Amino acid sequence: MDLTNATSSQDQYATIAAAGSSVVVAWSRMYEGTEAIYVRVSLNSGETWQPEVQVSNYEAQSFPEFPAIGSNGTYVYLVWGSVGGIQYSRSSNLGATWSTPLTLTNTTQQYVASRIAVANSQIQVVTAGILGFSSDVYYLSSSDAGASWNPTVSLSAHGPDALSLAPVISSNRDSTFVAWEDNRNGRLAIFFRSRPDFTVLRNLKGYYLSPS
Amino acid sequence: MRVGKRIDYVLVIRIIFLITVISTVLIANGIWQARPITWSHERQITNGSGESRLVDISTDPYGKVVYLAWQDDRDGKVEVYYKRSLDDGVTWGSDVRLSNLTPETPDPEPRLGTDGHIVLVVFSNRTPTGEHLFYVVSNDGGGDFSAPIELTHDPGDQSNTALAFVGSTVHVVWQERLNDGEEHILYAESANAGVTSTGDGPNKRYF
Repeated sequence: MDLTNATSSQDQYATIAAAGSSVVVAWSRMYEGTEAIYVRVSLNSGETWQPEVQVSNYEAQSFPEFPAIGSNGTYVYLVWGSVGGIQYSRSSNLGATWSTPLTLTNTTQQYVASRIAVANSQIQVVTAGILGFSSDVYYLSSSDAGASWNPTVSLSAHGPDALSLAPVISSNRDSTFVAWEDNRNGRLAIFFRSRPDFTVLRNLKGYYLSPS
Repeated sequence: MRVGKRIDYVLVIRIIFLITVISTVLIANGIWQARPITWSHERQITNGSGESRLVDISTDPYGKVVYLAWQDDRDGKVEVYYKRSLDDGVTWGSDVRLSNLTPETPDPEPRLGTDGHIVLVVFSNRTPTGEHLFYVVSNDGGGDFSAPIELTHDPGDQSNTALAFVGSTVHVVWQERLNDGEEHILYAESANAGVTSTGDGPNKRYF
């Protein structure tokens, strides 16, 4: 099914999240040299779709691209890269309306290709920040459904002129996992880091058996 | 009253002793570690002779299995590779090639998803009629995969896939470049991640 039928535009970099019978798709649309982020929602597993909703404005020199979307119940979380940094917006009504975009990063790097993982009120984002001939992988997280964000963490540690790019993230009930491509050793290879989501309560409930 | 108080003290001492014994056993066996939430060290987990790029990751939502798929040119042309860990990323299996792409394929850009049993990998492959999407699927948690199956047959170029699982149902989107230069976002669904095709319906495409 064609979700976008706008004429004279280029719809790119689609991302999707699904939970229960709701499906949410986001993408970036280029129109006359500028770009914006759009969303479309299905409430019946893709049978029918709500009208598309524009989440960000068309702004010259902003170039919002590479959206990443995650959902939890009626909450939908959306991040995307732009020249101004990683942008974030949240919907509390399954994508019908969206909060004013918030910039999560405050450096001069260009951020591209974000990914998001959502579990309950925990939001985790990975992105690559490019500055000159070097780039690093960064981790951003919120423990309160995006109301506040923890300090940004750099996950890649290498010298100058090395590239850490295209990070991806996934989590299960035990841990969070991040992988990315990295050329610090001469050619691009896949790098990996993990983080246990440890709590005593989960141990006592028997949900978590940590490897030694 | 005095007897009642003495019994309470004995009960408290017994509970403390029991907790101490259980905790000692759990910690001694490495089952329970009171450690802070920190990231593991960075590890390079591919070591092929080519360039490994555009990785995707997914996890068994209820277990400890971690899956990776990426594109790799170690064979002289770009192919889709895959590996998995059965212990939350502590150790990894060997690299497995999943595709046999045409040499003209620039970036298959694999995308991977799982419900914990079915593992699906979608990627693009340059064919005589354009760049089309293909997929391979595993029915045994990523042990064995099917041969590549074509997902899109439309004219034009399809690329930049994304997918999401709800149970064993998988929702897939991609971008399609039409002959007039426009690019649209398309959607398809499978009730069992493409293991068996259910045919297209009136309102949506199945695979």
